[in-house]
Amino acid sequence: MLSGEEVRSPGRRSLLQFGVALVAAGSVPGALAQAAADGAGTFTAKEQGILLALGEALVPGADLPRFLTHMLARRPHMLCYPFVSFPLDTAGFYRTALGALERASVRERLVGFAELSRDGRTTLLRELVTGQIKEWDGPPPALVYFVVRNDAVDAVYGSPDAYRAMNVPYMAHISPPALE
Amino acid sequence: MNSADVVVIGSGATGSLVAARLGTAGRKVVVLEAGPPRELGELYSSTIWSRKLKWQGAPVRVEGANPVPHAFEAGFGRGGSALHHYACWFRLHREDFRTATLYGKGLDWPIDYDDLRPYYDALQSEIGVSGDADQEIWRPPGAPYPMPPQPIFRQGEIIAEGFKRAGGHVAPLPMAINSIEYRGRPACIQDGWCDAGCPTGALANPITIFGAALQRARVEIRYHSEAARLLTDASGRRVRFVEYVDANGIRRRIGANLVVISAFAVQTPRLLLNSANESHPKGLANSSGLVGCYFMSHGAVNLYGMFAERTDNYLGRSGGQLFSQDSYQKDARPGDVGGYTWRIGNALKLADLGGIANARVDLFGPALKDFINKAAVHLGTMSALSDNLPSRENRVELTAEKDRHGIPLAKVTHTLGPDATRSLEAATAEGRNILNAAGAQEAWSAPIRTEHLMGGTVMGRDAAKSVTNGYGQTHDVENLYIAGPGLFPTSGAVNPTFTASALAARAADYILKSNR
Repeated sequence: MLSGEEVRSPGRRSLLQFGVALVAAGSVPGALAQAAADGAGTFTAKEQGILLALGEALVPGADLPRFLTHMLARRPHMLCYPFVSFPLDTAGFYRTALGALERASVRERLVGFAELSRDGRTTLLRELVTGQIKEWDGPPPALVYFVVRNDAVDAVYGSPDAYRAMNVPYMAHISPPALE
Repeated sequence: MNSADVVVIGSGATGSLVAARLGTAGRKVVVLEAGPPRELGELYSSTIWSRKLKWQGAPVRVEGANPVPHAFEAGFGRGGSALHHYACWFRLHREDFRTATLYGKGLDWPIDYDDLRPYYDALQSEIGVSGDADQEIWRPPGAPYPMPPQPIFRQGEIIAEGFKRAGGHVAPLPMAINSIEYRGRPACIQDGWCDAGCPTGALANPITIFGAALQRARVEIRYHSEAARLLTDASGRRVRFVEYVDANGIRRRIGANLVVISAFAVQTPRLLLNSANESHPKGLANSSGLVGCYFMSHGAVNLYGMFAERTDNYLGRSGGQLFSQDSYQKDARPGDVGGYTWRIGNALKLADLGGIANARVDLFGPALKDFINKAAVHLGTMSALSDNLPSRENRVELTAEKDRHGIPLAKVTHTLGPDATRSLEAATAEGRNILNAAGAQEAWSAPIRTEHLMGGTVMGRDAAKSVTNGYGQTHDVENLYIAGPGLFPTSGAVNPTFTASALAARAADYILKSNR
């Protein structure tokens, strides 16, 4: 039934161990914690470029730089990240995850993630979630995939507009205020 | 007020119930709530906005092979987790109270079903539960529901047919949600936004149910007030003060004749462990060494089926439409103890952890978009909820890390036992067969996950083997009570809020009788 960027077996099986990825969330290596501490709640131009490419690869149309920047400015931020109970602050998580993705891309493909072709990004993401990237120095890759994929889903499908576009009844008790 | 007859810590389902009962009986009650006030008018129908209701207090570290989804399960602010709970109000079965005696595994409760039955019956009438007791062939004895069952939509009908073809039985899911106007509250409009909090009053959240009683009884709720520790008298037998941190970060004390901790299954043991003193060097009420131990989360697995016909899965309630307990029997698999409940036909939204997009977490890019477009109209789902036997190794402990107030954080270690794992494997195979029998073009399962937070301060008869007695009164500190699912010695295989509420109502009665 499905085609395209389906993560196929045995990769799918690896991803389905996502719960195990959460287990690894017990501690944070010192270098990761320092990288997180260096980051504020905003993204550099380079990080925004990576996020844009990543969002588009995960859910077409997901403007992740805009979505995440706006959400991170809110208190509480209402992102799904806290649900995975990873011991890094939210902005630090994104900063370390994006840094790790960029370094992995350069190591594996010799160019940054945003410079990869569409197919190149897809392949690298598959390798990411199936644990095929040998050197990875960020938060657990399956966890990064899960969190950022959910962000991209939120960005595209989290508002009444998406339901309207799909002709799915939204049926709000109380319509949510606009997020921005 | 610097002192109260009763200080209740936490304003969720059980804290609000106890505060309302004791306040109505004339006690001066103060509730300390770590989070902010909430109003029904701020419960926006949104998967994103719903997250502001979830835990935002001190970080909780999670470890183990099956880490608990604490930040998703716990609430923050008035109403606690019950403000966003799905209101699946099941009763435990008789055998859930005696697994050690009957099957040689788990722990026995110090009470049995007949002790709780009057409270189940009274609460379902007071709060309002819809369902069809006659169709619940597995149901322990009890009064019929005061409301007819909720409507069943196409998704439920399709999957129910699968159960029927596979030789199974289903019944309408009992819910603390109005199916008709009840006690001045409206009927549910079936829009599936339960997880975002129900602002209409149809779903029995603590604000809707106890708000007026708390106001009439002049119960004071102090918001942004995080309990830090409990201070005892010189004997160590009575709590004298609750120390808490207010919204400005200032430590304050309030005196109390009686304290009820209803801070849920993680923060309650954290508070007790952080209250160690000379009389209680291992933590308050912890002479048994069991505060934090026997923490439980249900094992759960979601099954999905894609159908050719429309399922109208946007209609109904987040918790589901139907259920089956054909496999609830504890000893169906030789050597194992544990069964499961099927919850069938959950209303689905596109995003969030339980949303349509996560029904195939392996998909991304155009394939994910194609899937969502189809699943939004044709997906059906059901989930199995399994017993998880108590293990001393599954526990809440303090870490060396501290929160912004200098209070040690909690760490929860949790691994599903082998009986639960095998139960879920059996459920997964059965679920696929049922969905295939229902006519699914494709049926699949998600990874095993965990759901609900229970145990950690278990009740029991023996003070050396439990933290409280059958009323939630701690064995070691006579004026200290615990309310909530943290008291459960076993999990059963059903959602815990009805039982936690029944226990709290029973405890409130006991407190009033024994503290005239």
